[in-house]
Amino acid sequence: MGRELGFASFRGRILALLIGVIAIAQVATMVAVLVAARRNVGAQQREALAIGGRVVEELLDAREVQLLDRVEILSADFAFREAVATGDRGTIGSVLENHGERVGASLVALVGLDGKVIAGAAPVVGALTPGTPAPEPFRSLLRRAESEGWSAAAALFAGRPYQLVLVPVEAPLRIAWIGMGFTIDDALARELERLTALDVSFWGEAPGTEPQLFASTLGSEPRRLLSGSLREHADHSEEPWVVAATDQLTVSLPIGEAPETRLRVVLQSSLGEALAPWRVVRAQQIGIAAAALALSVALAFALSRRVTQPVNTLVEGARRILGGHYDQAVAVTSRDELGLLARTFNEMQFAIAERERRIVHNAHHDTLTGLPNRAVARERVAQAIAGARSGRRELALLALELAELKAVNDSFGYAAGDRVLIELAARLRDAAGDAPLVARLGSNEFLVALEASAPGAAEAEARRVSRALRVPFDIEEAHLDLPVYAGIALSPRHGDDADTLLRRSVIALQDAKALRKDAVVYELGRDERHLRQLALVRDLRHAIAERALTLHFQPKIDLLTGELTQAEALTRWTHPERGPIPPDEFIPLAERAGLIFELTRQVLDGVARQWRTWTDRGLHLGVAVNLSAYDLGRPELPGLVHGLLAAYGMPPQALILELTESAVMEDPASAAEVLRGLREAGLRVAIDDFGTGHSSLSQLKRMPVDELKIDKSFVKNLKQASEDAAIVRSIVDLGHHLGLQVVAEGVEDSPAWDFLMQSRCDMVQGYYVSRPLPADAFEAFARDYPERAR
Amino acid sequence: MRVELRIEIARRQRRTALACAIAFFFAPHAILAGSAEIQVRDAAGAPVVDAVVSLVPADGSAAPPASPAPAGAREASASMDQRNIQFAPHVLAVQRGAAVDFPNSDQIRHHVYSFSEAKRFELRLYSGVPAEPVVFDQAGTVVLGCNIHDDMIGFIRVLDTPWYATTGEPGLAHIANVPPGRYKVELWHPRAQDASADLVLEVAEGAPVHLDAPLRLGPEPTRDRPKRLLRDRLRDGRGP
Repeated sequence: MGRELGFASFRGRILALLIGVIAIAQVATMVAVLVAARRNVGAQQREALAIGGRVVEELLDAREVQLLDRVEILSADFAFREAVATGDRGTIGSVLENHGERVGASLVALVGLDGKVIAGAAPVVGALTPGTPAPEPFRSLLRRAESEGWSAAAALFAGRPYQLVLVPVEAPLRIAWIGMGFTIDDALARELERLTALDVSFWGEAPGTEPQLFASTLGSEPRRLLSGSLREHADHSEEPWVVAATDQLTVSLPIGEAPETRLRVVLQSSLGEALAPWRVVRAQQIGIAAAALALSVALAFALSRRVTQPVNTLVEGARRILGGHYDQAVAVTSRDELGLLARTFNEMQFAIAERERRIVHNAHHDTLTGLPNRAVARERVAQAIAGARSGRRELALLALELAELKAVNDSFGYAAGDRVLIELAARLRDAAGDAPLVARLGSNEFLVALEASAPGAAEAEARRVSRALRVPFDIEEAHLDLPVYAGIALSPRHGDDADTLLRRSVIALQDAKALRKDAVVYELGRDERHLRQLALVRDLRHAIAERALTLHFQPKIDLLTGELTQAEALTRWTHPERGPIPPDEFIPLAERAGLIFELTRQVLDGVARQWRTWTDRGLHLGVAVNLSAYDLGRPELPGLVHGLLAAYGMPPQALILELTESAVMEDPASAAEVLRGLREAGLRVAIDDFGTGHSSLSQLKRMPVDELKIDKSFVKNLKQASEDAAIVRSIVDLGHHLGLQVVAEGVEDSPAWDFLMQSRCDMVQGYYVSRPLPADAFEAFARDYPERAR
Repeated sequence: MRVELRIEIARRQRRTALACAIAFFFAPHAILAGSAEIQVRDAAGAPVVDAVVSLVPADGSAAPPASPAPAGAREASASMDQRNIQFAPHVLAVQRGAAVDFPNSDQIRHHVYSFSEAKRFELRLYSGVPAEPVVFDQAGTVVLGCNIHDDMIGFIRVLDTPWYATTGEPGLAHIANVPPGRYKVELWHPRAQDASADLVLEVAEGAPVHLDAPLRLGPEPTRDRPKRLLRDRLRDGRGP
């Protein structure tokens, strides 16, 4: 989960915070530096223009001085003065040209002291006409020169810009003025550019002409742009401005002072060039910022890792604990709070482990005997099976039950019962030795798994353990011989998974209990029957609730009179899928599932109702109903019976209650009591299946019954002089001697009938008379019987 | 500045001495004829030095020419010295036809020239006294210069009359040996504003005639040019 937290995680927040702070600091620093640098560049550029302006002024001054010196030297030249002094126009003209060229002037004018042109040489023809007053700007220069002895100016003449110098010609007194003009041209602009590192242009306005650029270091396109911009900045403020569509910071400074013309030098500094070092600084700044950011991100990662690594380790540790693994300590060894947390964490982990071990042990072990309990038994069985299988050994699983624990508890108290259980557990441990499993499943249930390497040895081993338990328990100075039943299932023969083996051992145990044998080994196929029984129990419960079971009636014939005097009601269950289920199968299931009383109730009700029906139709019969041993244990039974008799107006004598011999003998005392009560109320009681149980004659004598029903196993193949015949005759005699009526069941042929008749048996029933019939069919049979018997 | 002042004072002392010498030269004639004493003052009343005062007969009769110079090795009638890189005297007046020597008293050479119409000449770099004096045979003003020393300026006033004098230190000109008569007084000075005042003088024998002559002068020509630079002019013109 930690990784998916993203920026919600602690580490994410540390990273975000650190990187954010550093990034802000970096960006702020960078912006500050760049803004300062940019501002500095702007200021430097303005400063460069200002300095450039001063430099250009100095240079133009210096040039002017230089030109002045040059012209003065020229004017002092003897030959020149001599030529001028001659007054010969031709000579003067040629000397002007010659000496003008000598000093590099492109404009030369000789002006008389009267202000009139004596001679001139100019690029523009006719600009200087001899004998006429000197034109501007010479006139202005003359005025100044007259007072100061010389003059100089930058000015336009005949549409061209010049640096003009005017000095007197002295021979040795002043005889004339010599003026010379030096062109302001691109070469000069380039010279100034070389010295100032600025673009230099010259801009002039003469009256009546369009202002224009006369010289420049610029190319034609920038010139055009600059011209346009200069026309817009006609006010010629000395504040620098940027020429539109260029990056040229521009300043225009006046250099001419002639009143009629305006000449200005225009200086320009390329913002781009000025910014070039700034761009380098910017690139460096961005580089440094990026590097610093990357470095800080890496550091932040490392730092946050240092912080979150132990946290992650703790998280992993917590997850291990969550998964129930306590064996690994959290490996955070730092001395800080996280280290302390980790150490506490480990202590907690060990404490939890110890506590859990105890809890698990308690959960998995019986507190009384210390044996593993039901909760772990299944898993241990599985382990034992797996262990045996891997060792190619046979495994015996014993399901054990201490049968009489309740009696011990009732008689001697729970402490005694506990001692018995502890003793039994000790015996099991001793007997089982190094068995994979000895467990206590319930209050009186135990489970033992035994291994044996030799084939068939496991069963023998299991029986040995079972036998070892058959030793009386010494309780309260009494020797109690308590049966411990054992159900044995073998692996792999009876199953190779824990559930199957457990179930089969329990089935075997139930069989052992039912058979009252110490140990019963599971019988193959038994499980399938068991499962069928489970299904039938489920369906039976449903069938009883739905009253889906029906009653059939089998006639009982009085041998003395030959009349049909009674009917035995028999329950029939036709399973919707399995078809008819024999009572021998479903009655025990109903008994075991606790359904038998409800079934008995339905049968009694059905029988009483049927009796009413028949009686109302003139058919007077006694009806016999089979009761279960469990019914006898129900205190409601007498009330139920009396209620039904009253409800249907049935005399008690008409109802015969049949009980099997084993049912009566299970608890003869209480059975006798119940039966006595019923009998005193007038009902008849019969012992069913007589001869198969273990009743003693003394018990029989005390039992309040009216009838004995000889078990059909004796009657079925009844022949003269057979053992069965002797038994039957003895029972009849015994019954009669005890004052009981004797009934024979299962009469299937006439020899049996005859023999019973001879033996003076009181009544018979069986297929020889009729099979059990539905109520209607029985009624018909009963009405016809007198005639048929004849 | 102080040095120049000192030079100027020395020059004036020399001029005074020269004026005394000329007065002495004409002294013998003074017994025979009259003489004139003319005080030249400028508009402010200050005496004007180096002014040339000459007398021309008022009736228009021609003044006697200068005595013809002997052929061959002619004796110079006047001298324009060069001392301390200056012409001495500053102003020299001669009668037409006079031959003037140009001795160089300096240790360095001079190149004396004149482009004046009255006399064009040139004495190429020389030292000592040139062999030939220069003859001034045309009346007028001759401005002298030195080709290698622009500050050297001298004047020779060539006159058609023998009666002339140059004012000395107190602005006084003594003209001796003037035949009695009525004369027009002509004044000249390098800085004179009006060429000649309408002055007339009556000369008689005996005591000298005195005349006060006013002369308006122009300003001293500036020789030292202050090289006021372009930027200064720009700054001045650009003031708020």
